[in-house]
Amino acid sequence: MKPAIASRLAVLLLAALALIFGTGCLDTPDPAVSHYILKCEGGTLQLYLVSVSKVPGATAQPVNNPINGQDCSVSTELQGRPLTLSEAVEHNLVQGGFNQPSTRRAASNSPFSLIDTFVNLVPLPLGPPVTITSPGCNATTKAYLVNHTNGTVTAVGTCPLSILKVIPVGSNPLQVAITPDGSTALVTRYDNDVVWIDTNTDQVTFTLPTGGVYPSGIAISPDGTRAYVTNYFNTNPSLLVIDVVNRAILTTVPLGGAYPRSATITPDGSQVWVNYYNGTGVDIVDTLTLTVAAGIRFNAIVSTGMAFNPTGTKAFIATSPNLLAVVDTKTLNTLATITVGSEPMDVAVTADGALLFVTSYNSNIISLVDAIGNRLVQNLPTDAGAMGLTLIPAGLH
Amino acid sequence: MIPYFPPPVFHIGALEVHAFGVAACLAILAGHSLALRRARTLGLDERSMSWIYAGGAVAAAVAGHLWAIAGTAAHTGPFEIWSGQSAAGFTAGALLTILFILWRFGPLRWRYLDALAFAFPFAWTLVRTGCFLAHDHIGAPTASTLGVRFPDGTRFDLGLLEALMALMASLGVVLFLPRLKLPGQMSGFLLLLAGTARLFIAAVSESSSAFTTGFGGVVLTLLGVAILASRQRTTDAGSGRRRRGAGDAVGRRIRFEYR
Repeated sequence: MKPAIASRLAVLLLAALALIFGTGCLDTPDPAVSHYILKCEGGTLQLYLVSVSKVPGATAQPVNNPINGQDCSVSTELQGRPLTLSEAVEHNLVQGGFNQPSTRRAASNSPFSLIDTFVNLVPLPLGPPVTITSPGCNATTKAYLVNHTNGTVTAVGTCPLSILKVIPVGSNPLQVAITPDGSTALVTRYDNDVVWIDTNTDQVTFTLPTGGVYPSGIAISPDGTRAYVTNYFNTNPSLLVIDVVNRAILTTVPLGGAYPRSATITPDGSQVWVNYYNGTGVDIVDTLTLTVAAGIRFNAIVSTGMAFNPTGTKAFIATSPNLLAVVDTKTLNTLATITVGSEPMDVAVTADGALLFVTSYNSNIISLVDAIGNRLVQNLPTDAGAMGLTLIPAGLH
Repeated sequence: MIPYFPPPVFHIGALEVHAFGVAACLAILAGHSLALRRARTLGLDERSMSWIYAGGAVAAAVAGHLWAIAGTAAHTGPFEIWSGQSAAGFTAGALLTILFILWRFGPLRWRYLDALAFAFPFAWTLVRTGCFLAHDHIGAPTASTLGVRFPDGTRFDLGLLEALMALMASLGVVLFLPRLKLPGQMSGFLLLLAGTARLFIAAVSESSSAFTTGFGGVVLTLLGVAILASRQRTTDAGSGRRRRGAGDAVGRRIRFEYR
């Protein structure tokens, strides 16, 4: 029996619909095959999400990530092309070992053969990378700058400004602090060392291995006997207490959050305030009992600059995206919030405690704040996002 | 490696036709023609076969579309079958059609299914060729010679891989046709091939639907094995009865038609 006309027509109609409207099975790219790429553009890093698409020229969408804006100008070979995670780690642009293991299949010569899930990257906690030997402007006053990607510390004469010496300290140096007497600079190296530099000779005099601790932020007590170093890691985050004179680790203080970043010591040396990468809180370590005695929680990320006024009654804490919180160190209450530039980085208070400066990474300004009246005085323009700030009170810088 | 090419588009007057549309259209027509041809060979009612095919194709397309929009939350109507298809949904629709045939066509049910099974791999090859031409299913990164140099890196094109496997299944169906004489054997054999192919596709897929693809592959494979085993058992039992001189009319007719 011949097939019915109606059924043939139904099949023909279906075929015609397929012919006219059939463009493909899927209208949109499958998000599961999207991936992240990290690009070095104009000397800074930017993270993108790329949707693998059947359409040529698929656009990569910028993704907000703390790694964006980080300096990558040290290597011309990185410029203008996607980096693999291995490359980023190799060039000390990001911290290795934190990222989730890749579930992607490897392919020997594919640009996507390595881990490309950059979304959880934690940038190394650069800055503040500069400090000075003494509060004055004279021939003996020197500033020390950490050159993270070069593995060096530069000794700079401040009056006049001149590079005195470049001191190799080893890979991944992060922060530098100088003892109150100005004789020694201590440099944290993320690669498990703290380095002593004699500021008279500008030579490395001692390297203290820290084992499984990843040194990041550093603060030295007012009497110069102890250094407090944060362990910038997600397992066993802690504060390392170091005997500066005897060059030995005294003890470690366990901390509550992952990736403790910077340590700032109160003027009387009784407390060390610690902030965390992408954290919203500051933990206060009592230096007598060596325990976390208190904490402050904010409704914003507080992982960059902190400073105290000379009497230690106020703490000035930079909070993302653009505020400076003024905290009463006795009650731990926030006294005021002052709008400063976008992504405030470093906070420095003048010796008399009257003014403070806040660098802004995204706004190309340095905010000048009345530290007594808790108000913004002026925004000083800069050429680019600023990071790394120190004050020389008696001079012009 | 295969160089990337943009999905081909043709213009017939004012009508814009995509390569996928052409391939899908040819697949529907070729499948229908082959199913009718096979039905004729098996002595089946061509009118019923045509309706089964049309109904099955619509059911599979609608189920495939519903599955696709459920998975992607796309804002399209349930019957806009051209705006998104899912192989898992398509398979579900096809399985519903199989169940309908098994329920509705009594002793001849396996022969109708076999006729569809014979036609399916050819239509499958054409449709998946269309998917490849549209670069719809982008797989895992690869350095294989079968990889396609997509704008964002070389990856498997799952449409191409499945089209190649469907082509092999088509050849297998033709080559094994003389051996697949028992009712239901062709259906079981085809399900086995399709399930194995889907399992392979799941292995080289990075898609969010990889699990569903793999699960569907397992289901189809097991179903194919089960059908092959059950058909073999039924025939063995029938042979036993026949040895005792108690063969049934349907059994005789089937044996005759499969000669």
